[in-house]
Amino acid sequence: MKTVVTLPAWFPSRKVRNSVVDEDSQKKLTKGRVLLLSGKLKQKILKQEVFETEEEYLKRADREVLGHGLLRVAAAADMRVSSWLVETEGDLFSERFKASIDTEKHEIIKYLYEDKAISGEELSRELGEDILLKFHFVNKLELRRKRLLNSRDSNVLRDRSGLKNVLAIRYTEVPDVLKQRKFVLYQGWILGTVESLLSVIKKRFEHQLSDRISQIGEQLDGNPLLEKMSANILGYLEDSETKALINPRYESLGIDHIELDGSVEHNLLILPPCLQELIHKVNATGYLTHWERFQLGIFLKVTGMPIDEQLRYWYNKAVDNVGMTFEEFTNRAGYIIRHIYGMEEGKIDYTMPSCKTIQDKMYCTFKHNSIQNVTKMISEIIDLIKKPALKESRTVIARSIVASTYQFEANKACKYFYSFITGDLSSNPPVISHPLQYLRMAKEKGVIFELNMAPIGEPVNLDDEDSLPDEITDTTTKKSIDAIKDKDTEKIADKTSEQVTLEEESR
Amino acid sequence: MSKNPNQPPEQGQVSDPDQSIRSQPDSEQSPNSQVQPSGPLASSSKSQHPSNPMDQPQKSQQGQKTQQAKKAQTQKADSKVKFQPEITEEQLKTYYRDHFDTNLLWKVMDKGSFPRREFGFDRVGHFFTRNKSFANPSDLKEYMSIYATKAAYAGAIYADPVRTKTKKYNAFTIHDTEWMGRELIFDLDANDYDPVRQCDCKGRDVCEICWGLIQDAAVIMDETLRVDFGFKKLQWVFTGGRGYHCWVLDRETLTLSQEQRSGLVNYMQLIHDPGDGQRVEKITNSSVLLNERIVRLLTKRFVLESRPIVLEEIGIKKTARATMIRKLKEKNYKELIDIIPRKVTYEQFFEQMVKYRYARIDHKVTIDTRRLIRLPGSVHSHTGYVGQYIDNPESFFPEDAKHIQDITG
Repeated sequence: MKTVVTLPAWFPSRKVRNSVVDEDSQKKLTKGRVLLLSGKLKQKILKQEVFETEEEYLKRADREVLGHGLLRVAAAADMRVSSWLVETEGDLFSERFKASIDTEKHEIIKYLYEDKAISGEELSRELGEDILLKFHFVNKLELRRKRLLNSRDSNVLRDRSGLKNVLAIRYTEVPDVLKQRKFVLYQGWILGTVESLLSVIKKRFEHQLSDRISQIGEQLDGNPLLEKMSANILGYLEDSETKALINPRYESLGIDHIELDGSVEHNLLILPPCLQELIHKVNATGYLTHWERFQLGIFLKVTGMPIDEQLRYWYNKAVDNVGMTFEEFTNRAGYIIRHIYGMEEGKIDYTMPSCKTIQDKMYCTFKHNSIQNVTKMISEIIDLIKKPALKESRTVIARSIVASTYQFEANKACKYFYSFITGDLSSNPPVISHPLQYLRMAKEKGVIFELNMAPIGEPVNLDDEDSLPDEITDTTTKKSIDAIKDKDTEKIADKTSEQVTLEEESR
Repeated sequence: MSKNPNQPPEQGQVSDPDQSIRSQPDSEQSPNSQVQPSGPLASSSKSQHPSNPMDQPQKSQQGQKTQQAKKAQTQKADSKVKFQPEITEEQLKTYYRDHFDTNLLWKVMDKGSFPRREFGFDRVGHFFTRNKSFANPSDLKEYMSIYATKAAYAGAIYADPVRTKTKKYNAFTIHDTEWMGRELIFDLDANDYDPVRQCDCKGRDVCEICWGLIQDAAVIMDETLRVDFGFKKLQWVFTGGRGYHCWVLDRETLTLSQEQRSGLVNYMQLIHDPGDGQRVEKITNSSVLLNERIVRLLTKRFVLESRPIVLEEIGIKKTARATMIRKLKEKNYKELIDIIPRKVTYEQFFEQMVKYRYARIDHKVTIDTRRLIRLPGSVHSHTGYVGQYIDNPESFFPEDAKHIQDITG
């Protein structure tokens, strides 16, 4: 059950009294929030240089929260605004949180963590031992002084005000912190003062905001009202004054465009693994999440696909356009595509996002895929290699890919995947930080596998004799395909399972 | 030719030498390790800890002492677990049919989710297979006895029962159905200690000396999981091979994500690059519990059981070591700093101790939520030992485990 909390007026995720905003007000509210996030207004407010009555304060707080809500809608359609918003809102949150009184802090923590964070006092009661004393958050002298002040005849401490504000967060909520061992861990709770845990709390706030923006993004396509609102707000952000405040970072490597020889589907094997998977996914299911669509859409654009062709691409692939003509589709659901090409308000010429942004918001093979699936994917490719020496060298690299995935080092895993696919073993290739970097390197190097390899996730067409890799002479694989042809299904199912278990626990 | 998967394998199928579990003798095995039909450790002594070389009866001369200690160490090193025994297909069938107690599975598995749990098998005369589930333990038992299972594995729980797809049966495999949960499992293997083992064991070999490392690791992990993480339900299992599995069965662990599991195992993992660099991570002052635990549980055995060269690496010479041992025997020290010679820093000593005696956890087993793990109670075909549930990992030795030869005759 969700805990009922009363959030401070400035907290951007709280509900406002009147949330109906007409178009005229939208511009004011949006700009107001941008000023607050980036400009001098922030300093004035934080330093409490603005003098106002409580009613005035509440009205201003409502306007701030509404402005934040509008920016979230814009951010759902524009990745760069999203990155900027999450970062600056995180900073503002951090400053305001620090300046808040203890009860407000506790309300916010309850909102962010629900019952996964409690005070040190509450934990002490729950565990039946004084946690603050046990881990020296309070020293004995201080405690004795308090005891004397509270009750001269008793050891019972009634008032602990003034003592350090200790917070306990469940270990499941902070896996990164757990790794660092920076805080006391006791009975599954990370213990620290609220001040020392500020960066952890801020990260949680940013994470929730990012999730909320993604949720809005999911609702954006096919919702004309939201689309119009996001287009309007992005338009407001485009005037020179506001744009300078937002200062979106253009993420590129000095290359923002790579022409492919032929369609992306003809070049599948040299594409970064994330894009290969997305193309396969859209082919197989006709559906991608909001940010995945964005990721593939920009990639198709920067590799030379014109807008009409891309609109046609999505029309043909999508499953949610049944009964819709191409024109209807273009008008109703093509918003994101037009937006990517700068055809909507904002007129932003999008460049391909970096791996960092992709890992944060979109789809990265080695960040968002399960280890099992990564292992399976690699095993399937290895199984298609016929030459023992080549197979052996690729198996060594495959181990590095899997090991890096285990260590959550996605960029490194991608680098090894590049070596795995291209055979670039002579020199140490750089860690992959951008999909176009991968594409450029892979394009130059080429895929040297001596087989007609199917792209990731795409099964070999076993009915078509010609489509089978010529070089499948590896006995197990040949057996597998023969077995399928012989309809010996149980055997092949077992064999496939065996391939899956590259990293099998076999002790 | 198609084959009914429910039919037992034909007799002739085991004749393939590659598929047969009758293996060649282990070339790495010490010539002193006699392969006995019963299969347990050659040594008959069973103690909570391997006897300490320094605890041998006092001799008048120092040289005699050293000789005695060396002899004791050699004896322990010679008492290795026997590998690759002669196990027949019939013995495996008999074991699973007549002796495999499925009721014990409830020690680690939930009855309600049993039909949706994945299993995997390595069977005599067949390919390895996974994506199997069973309505009840009796079906599992029947399957394992029909197919003469060399190795059995348990996987995660899914939304539907899983089965390999066939032409007639379009079943759910683990990739077609939703993952629902998996117990939190830790794996301790003696071979992970190869760079620091002070006996002559390597790889799959285990003797009393290096088993002590596994015991130490289990003791530290058990306390860390109970105290630092607050877990209540831990089940230790001897894998039948060269180590332990620890199943954490608290309800909340079932749905932990890979990232959460990674955080958890990384909290406990202090040795990085276990194969090469042996880099020991520094512990901050905040990890007061872990720090104190390592010192309390490892110091004594580290000083007493390490070869002199291990301490000499950090500048603790023979006489200083003797003084440390004397202080340790007095049992009146409270801080590690009291027993370390002045020339050696606390950090140096602590790092060396962690490197040589601290737990080396195979993090992949813990993090991978779809991984198959050896089924407790199943036979380990390399050793013939039966995977066994154990209450006290500190006092268990592989020789305590049941061996299929003993069970089936």
